[in-house]
Amino acid sequence: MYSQILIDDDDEMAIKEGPQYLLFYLQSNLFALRGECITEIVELPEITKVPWMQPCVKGVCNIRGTIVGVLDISERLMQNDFTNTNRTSLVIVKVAEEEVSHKIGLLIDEVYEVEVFEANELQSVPSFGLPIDSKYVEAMIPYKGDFIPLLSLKSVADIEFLSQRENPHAT
Amino acid sequence: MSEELQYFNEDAQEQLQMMESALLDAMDKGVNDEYIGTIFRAMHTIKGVAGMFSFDAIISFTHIAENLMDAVRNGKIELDENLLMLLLKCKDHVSTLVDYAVESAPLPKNILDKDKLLKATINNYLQSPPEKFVPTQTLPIETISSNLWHISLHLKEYFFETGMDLISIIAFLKRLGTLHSVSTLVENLPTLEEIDPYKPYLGFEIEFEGDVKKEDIIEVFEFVEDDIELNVFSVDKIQKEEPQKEELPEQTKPVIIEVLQAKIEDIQPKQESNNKQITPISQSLRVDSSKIDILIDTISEMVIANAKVNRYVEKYADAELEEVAIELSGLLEELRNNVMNIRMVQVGESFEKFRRVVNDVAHKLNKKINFTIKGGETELDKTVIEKIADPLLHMLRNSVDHGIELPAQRVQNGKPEYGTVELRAYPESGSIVIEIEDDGKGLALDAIISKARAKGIISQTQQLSDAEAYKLIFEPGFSTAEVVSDISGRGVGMDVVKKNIEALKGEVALVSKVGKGSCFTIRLPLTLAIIDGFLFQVGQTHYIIPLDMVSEVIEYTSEYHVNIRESQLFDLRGTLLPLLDVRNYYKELPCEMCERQNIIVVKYGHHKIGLLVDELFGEYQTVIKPLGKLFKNAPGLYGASILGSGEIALIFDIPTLFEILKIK
Repeated sequence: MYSQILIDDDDEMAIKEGPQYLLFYLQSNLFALRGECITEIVELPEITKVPWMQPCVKGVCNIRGTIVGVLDISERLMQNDFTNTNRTSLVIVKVAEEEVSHKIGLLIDEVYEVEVFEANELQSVPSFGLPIDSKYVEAMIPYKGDFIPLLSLKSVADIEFLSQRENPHAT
Repeated sequence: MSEELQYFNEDAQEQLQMMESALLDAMDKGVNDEYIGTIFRAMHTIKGVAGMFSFDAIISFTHIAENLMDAVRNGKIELDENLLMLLLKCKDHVSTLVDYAVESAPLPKNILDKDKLLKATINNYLQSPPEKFVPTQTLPIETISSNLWHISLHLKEYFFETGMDLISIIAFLKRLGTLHSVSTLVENLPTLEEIDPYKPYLGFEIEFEGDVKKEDIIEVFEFVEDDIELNVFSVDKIQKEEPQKEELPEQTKPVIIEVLQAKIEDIQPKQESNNKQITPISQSLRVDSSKIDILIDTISEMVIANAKVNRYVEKYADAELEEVAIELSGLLEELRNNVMNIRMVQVGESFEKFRRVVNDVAHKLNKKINFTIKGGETELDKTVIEKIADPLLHMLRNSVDHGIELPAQRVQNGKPEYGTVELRAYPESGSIVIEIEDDGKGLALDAIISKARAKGIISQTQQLSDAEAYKLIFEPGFSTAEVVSDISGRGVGMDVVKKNIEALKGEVALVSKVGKGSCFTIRLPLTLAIIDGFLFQVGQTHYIIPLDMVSEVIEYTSEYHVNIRESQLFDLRGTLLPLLDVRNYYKELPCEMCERQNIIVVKYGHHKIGLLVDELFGEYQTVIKPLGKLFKNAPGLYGASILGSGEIALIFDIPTLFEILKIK
């Protein structure tokens, strides 16, 4: 599974052992996701809109014959619609809900790197001050003299919330 | 007592214990297939193991008992109270026989007399005298049609230390069918200087023919399974899977050890004539369904890749390339349809089996019944069909037993003498509906409610709607029959039925009318079912509705317009119908390519509405895929389907849509 997200730094991998993290750009900020919940990263496929969903639920796409819901996390975290560039990718993650796991695709602006961090490197989240709601952040990862928010998949891809219908009379 | 005998004794006693529990449970709770299976297996297993020790008394007795149970299992003999008592006696008798056999003591006269008596009683049940069990008897050719097996066994180093006698095991194998050849593998045999006389070095390749399952063959070797390496192949399979053949002993030159050959000839008269009559290759192959799922996913990927190829074909306009691409597309389409069809099975074949049961039950209860099956061509996932069979059987028995009245009573009530039970299946908006309807006496709601109160399922004061009251019969411990019969009605049924159906993510409901009959409706989703859909486009999105809900399709021209401002209606040849502007409703962007709008007239139940849509594409074979939890609240959408181009089309859930639009 990890082999799909290993990019080109085998040497570095060999030195450091531990869980992998995907670092990616969202609105020119770096964010991280745990590698263990990622099944694959694909080019942005064609998205079919599903009516009456939350604005951040863009629709569905076809990933190897499976229908996968597409979540725009820029919209979800920063209320900013994503911009489609040729680097836009879809990160397919597994989300467990009621013991069943579902695949959801997360739209990201650009893959940056896959890195290994040990558990003791992670730091706690400041209660406020982040550009996004701190409930979406699981930990802060120190990286090259800076900090990267590690997104909590559980709260970002909260199926119970996301499956709610958009109020049809609102707009 | 030797170790093997000890095993035999323990195994036999365990089997007998299971048989006794099954018999007692059957007396208490009613006969079911599971109990019959347990009793049959007990006799069968003991016979098999006794065969390895040549305990002839046990073999001959258990053989007859097994025949009896086989007849019961096939429904030829009914397992009634008397027979259960007889079987209990048989169990005790076998237990005695085992005791004597283990002690190697001769059977005293009183036991022998009992043996004769029980055998005679069983034979009475079997009516026609059973085939006599002769150890050397071979099975008739017809029954062994295509059951060729290749058994390969290698003795482990310490085999001789176990003290097991392989010859007797092979001799026993002989009783299950025909040994065509036994060849000895000697390639591991070292030179005389190196040979260790305590080690076996040998292996055997056996060509065996018999009407048995693989498990049966493995069972024969049960006592030595840890001491040998055993491989059992169906020869049919080997022929199909050519590439695997290299594992088989082509290169190992079989050398026949004369001693063994002589022994085999002892037990096996020449069977040359048999060799010619082997009918080849069975027609079906069991495959893990997940393998088919993978295949389907791969094909979906191929379809998408193919669509890309077609784009390049258009781009380069090369005639030869185009020709190949068209051929490829056609083959791919065919492949896709064939693979999709593997999992789907018509329900008819499975339904036909119920006919027999209904007739038997009706006959036993002196009822006259016309049993009809409709919609047998409806396709359903094979695993779903298998799992739904038991609940259906139970419900059918219920209908015959509790629903349909006796002929005299029917005539008295002004009904035809013959009761009707109808089993029908049809697809409905992404579900398969199976209904069992009878024109029997029906269920009285107040009877259900008072019974539920008496049983403490609901409180004395609790008020229920009709639908809620009908649901009570699916509660554990609820049975409406006043007299418990041995066909149905011990209150162990309907809750299990409901549980089984819910496990398939289906639902079951009951509607009943006193004096008129009852109708059970089972609704099963079909995740992987193919429906005939109708494909159309609204704005940028493709949509599908089940074809059988499409009443007609019309172009939305001025003759259908209704001049009431802000109305959502249209005039269908003088009938005013509601019109749903799908583009507006789903907030779709306008479709640039589309020139005119069309109305799809959709019918569901007694209602009709029009859907205002853009482009129509027509009939489309639709594979339904779930949208996933994320879209569980998506309004009026049931699932999605992947089109040949790799695009996704959303499938309308018309019943929910009607509900949402409050058309009732």
